[in-house]
Amino acid sequence: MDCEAFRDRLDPWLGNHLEAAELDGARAHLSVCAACRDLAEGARRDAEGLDALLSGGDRTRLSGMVSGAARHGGLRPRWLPWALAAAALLPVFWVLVPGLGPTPSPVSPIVAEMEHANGPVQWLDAGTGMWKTLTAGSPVSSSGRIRTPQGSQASFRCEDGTRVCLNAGSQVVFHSDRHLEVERGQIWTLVASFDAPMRIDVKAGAVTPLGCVLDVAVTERQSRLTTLSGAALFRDLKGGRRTVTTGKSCAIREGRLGMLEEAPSADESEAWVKILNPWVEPDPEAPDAEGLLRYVESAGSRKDPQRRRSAAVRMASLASLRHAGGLVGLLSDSDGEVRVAAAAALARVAPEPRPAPLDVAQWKALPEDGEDLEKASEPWQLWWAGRESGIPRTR
Amino acid sequence: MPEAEGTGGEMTDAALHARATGGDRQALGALLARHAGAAYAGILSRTGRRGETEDLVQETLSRAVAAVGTLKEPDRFGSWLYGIAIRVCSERFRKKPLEGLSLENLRLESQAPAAEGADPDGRLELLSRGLGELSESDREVLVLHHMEGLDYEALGRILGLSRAGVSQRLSRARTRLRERMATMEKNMEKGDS
Repeated sequence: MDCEAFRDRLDPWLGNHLEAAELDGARAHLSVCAACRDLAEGARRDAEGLDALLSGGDRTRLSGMVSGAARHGGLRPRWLPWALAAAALLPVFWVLVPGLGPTPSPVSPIVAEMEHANGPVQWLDAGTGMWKTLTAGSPVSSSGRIRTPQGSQASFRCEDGTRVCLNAGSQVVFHSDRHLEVERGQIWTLVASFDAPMRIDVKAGAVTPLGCVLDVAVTERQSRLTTLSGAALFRDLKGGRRTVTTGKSCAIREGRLGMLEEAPSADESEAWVKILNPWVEPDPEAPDAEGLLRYVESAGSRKDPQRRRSAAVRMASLASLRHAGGLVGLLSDSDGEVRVAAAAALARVAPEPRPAPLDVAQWKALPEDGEDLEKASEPWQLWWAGRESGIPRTR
Repeated sequence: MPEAEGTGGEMTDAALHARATGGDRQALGALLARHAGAAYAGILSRTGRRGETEDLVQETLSRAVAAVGTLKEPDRFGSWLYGIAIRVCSERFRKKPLEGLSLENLRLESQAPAAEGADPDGRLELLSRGLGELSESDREVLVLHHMEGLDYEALGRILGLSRAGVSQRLSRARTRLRERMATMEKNMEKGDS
């Protein structure tokens, strides 16, 4: 496909109407043509801007008019202007108040719920192929495709307790509560500990969080994973894999995983999420294994290593199989005491078959961020990643 | 699949129409609800004024309800209702010509308040203004597509265009919108300097 052909097909490309062969041609062209890439990005941004400008809560008013017309044979009742005036007050609450506005009828299992948003959010109605407005409190069914236009951000809570925030201009498929796919844009996720691994598909790769806080960004050119807290296994489709730990970032470009890079500070990366969600900060006083695990995984806990070690030891004594992902992540921790606590907990909770246990002293002695540490924790990461269907679900 | 059902298990327009003409108000409501959004979007794209759009939608629905028994092709209810909406608009403008589109009004008041910093580069504002400067047919196809989420097929039915025709019209409208926005940006830069 050349520039002229791509520009001819720009609109079907925007609407995902291109056939597979044309789509491959468009992708190939975009990978080599900066001008068309800029054009396509601009057009995508404008299309999302139009969605943001034009979609919204007029449905309440419209449905009022429709009911009035159907009930009263087209005669406009005297009370209708007053009803419309009252309805005019509703849209302000449309997105912010759960339960208002239309709710997609679930035909598949519910996997998540939209908590709140600061602008219009849409879901794809597979039955009609149309994008419809999603309101706060609305359920998201299995395989539900959600998008946020420019100017809108949204927060979701999955059935397993995982939190997922979509930045503006993002599109995500909730295949299940433990399986997401980021088609474009940026998500932030706080992965709940559970007895089965989570999986996040991106273009040309997949992420297996090891119980942590992640930022995943997908553009035409690359899929980038940034671990804000904890660790995650990042794999490309060619067999490459890397463990991305707190403060590190890694990208897949042209199908291949790149080297680990230093990530921007967590504060900087999470600024937009914190505006959207006040609950992002972990609670160091949480008395249960979940809260303690979140605290140990958090970047902030590193400011007080002693307190962090105590929390890790206490967490290790309380943890169960559902925390295995987080524990595996902590095997790559830079603090030997924390690694020992995680290894001890895994030895207690992980069912066979599992990697051969490493002596506690060995976990402590491994040099931080070295190849030996990577080599020691890798069998556990693969064990966890391979257990997606191996552990019975509790719900 | 029963004849009265569409692919999504919903009743077809023709089946709803048959019930509606038999006096079933609920069926009539469902039929109107299915297509009123497009009528709203079509009128809004012409008036740019939400308050006026509501009056004209009301008028459209009233006329549709009064004439629903005369519809010959009930499976084309959507384009029939849209046609009424456009006629209602034309009549309104014959009586009192429209004095240019108000760009402020095209940005719907019904939206939730924009997030802080949600339009940091003023792009949404520029889009809103650009949309107001487009020709009626360009604006119509963009508003129908982005407000109602109508796909090529649905747009084609309403506008009487083929799939390729819809694609062309959308492409043309987007190109012109981009051109308008670029011109506005240049003018703003000149104004700044």
